Amino acid sequence: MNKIHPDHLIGLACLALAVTIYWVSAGFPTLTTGASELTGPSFYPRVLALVLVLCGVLQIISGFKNTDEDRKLNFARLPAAWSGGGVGHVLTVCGLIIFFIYTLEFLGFFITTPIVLVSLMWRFGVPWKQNILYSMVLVAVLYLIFGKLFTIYLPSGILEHLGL
Amino acid sequence: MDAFFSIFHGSILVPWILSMVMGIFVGGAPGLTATMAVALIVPLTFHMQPVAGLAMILGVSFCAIFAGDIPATFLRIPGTPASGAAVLDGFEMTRKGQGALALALDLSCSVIGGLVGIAILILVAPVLAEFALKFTNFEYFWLAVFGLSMSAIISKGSKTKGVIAMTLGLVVATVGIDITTGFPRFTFGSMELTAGIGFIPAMIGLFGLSEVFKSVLNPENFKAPTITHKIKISFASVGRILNRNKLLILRSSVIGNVIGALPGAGADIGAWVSYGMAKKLSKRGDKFGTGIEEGIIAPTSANNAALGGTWIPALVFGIPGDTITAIVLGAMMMYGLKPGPLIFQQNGFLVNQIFSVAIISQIFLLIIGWLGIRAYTSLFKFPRNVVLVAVLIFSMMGAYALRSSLFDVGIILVFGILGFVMEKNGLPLPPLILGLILGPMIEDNLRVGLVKTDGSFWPFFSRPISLTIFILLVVLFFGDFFLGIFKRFTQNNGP
Repeated sequence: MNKIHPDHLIGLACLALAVTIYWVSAGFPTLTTGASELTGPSFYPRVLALVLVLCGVLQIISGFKNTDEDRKLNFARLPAAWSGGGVGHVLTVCGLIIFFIYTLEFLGFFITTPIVLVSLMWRFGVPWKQNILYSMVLVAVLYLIFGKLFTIYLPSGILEHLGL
Repeated sequence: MDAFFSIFHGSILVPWILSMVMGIFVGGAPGLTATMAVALIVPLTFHMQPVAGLAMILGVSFCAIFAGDIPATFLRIPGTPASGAAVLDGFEMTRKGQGALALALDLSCSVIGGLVGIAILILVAPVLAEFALKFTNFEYFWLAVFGLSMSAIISKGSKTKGVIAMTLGLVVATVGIDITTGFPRFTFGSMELTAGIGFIPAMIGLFGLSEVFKSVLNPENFKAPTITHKIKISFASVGRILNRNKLLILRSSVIGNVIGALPGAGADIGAWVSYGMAKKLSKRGDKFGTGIEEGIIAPTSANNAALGGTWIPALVFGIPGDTITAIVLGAMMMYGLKPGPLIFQQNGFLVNQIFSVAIISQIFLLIIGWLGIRAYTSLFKFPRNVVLVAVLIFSMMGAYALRSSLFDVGIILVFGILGFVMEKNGLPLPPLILGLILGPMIEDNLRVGLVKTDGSFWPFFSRPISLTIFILLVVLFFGDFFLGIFKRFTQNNGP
């Protein structure tokens, strides 16, 4: 397992993607006039798949040639690199983005956005006073720019049902 | 000359300058792009006289294209695709504490590039238009492939990885309805995917969110200000740098302008080709990407020069040079103007006013751009953890605002993770986004060309311009390889 280089994985990923493209595009219709296969919907994706195969092979070869010890994947080392506050931050960001996507329309802009902002700043260690202040300012700025200047519709969510 | 002086009227100057300020703000905010800035300003121009409206549009476009370089330099997030190349050396200079210098240089080159571009527009428009007319599907295909390959080759990392990134972008671009046949590809039944994957949310995710991930993964400097160095730079030192790179500035501007003049090819391709050429032709080619002045000068003069170029086909033929001029042409028609060969005769005065506005906009840009840099620098003095949150929420709202679609916010997340994984593995990001943008241009021209030739590939190689670009492409990819063989061969046969 110590001999696996990230380049091998990249190469394999390229090959896997190429195969997927080729296989899915097999379901695309072909035209029956003129330069039929070449101008149908499957031609170009297949050309790309071919390029990916080429690159994948080159990457795998490069993985064998590359003697850079540091880059070799050592599965025992991975957990150490992932500990610490950093990963938690990344997951928080992802989680809050997903929260935003699912609640913006339901809860409305003026509830979802402050929740997201306050949570992010809290997680990132911003002191509470600044947190609340900056969040309020940001919500106001976002409202003015997107809601008023760009006239984007910002969902009111449940506030609408409350008659606000 | 009357046209020149006529533009200094309050009713024109006030909205013109205000829209330039807006351009700096919108272009400089990660998540908002130059095209958005133009699109947003057009409705505001309908209440004005045509020359005021056009001045607003011209002003906002030049400012936004410059301003896109501000977050590219300070945060490694391009404000607009044309700033993709500025990220490479600009951000490195920021890391060396020279971010302000990079932007001062950037601003100066943008202004000079803009002026050169306009000069070419005024002097050469008809001739350049003749050249542009010779371009048909075959030439456009190669040009797009060339521009894209430039970004793949010159990005950090191996050429193979660059090509992988570029191909990934091209693959992503195929998701959606196939224009020629109307068949939905790779949509897996999803309605949102049928519309394709928007390049703006993808760009925000790929550059913006992935950078946020990288920053939060190592929260050491979290409470510290994002930018710590001062903004006191002497214009003398900028002047010195400009002086020793005169040829580079001129060459980059011309490249940018010519590419901008080709309909459909805009500031983004121009910036990359210029960067690539500069790197190949420079004595310090291998230092590109580490934060050197040439790395800033080449793309930033080119992208503003390209804007001037995009007006050439727009004015002379009524064909947009890029998305911004496409919007402008729509606006011009609403004013009752008919761009085309006759516009020089029928609306000669207006055309001269447009040229004058373009020139004076560059001067205004110098001042407004400078203020913009200072404003953004003050903003970035906030602690890193706050700035990141602001960038994040702006990116999310910016993506949502495009189509009022939460799907696009999801795209940010997916591409953010993709960008992060790619960078960890040495795969460059710019070729992917450029592949996404240029993919349709490449595929459509390839297929339409094949239809024209009834399946034959020959014209792709036999037409003179096509052949030239193709040879350049081969040299680009394999030049080093053949050079290496040549060197070894001559060494073996030496005395």
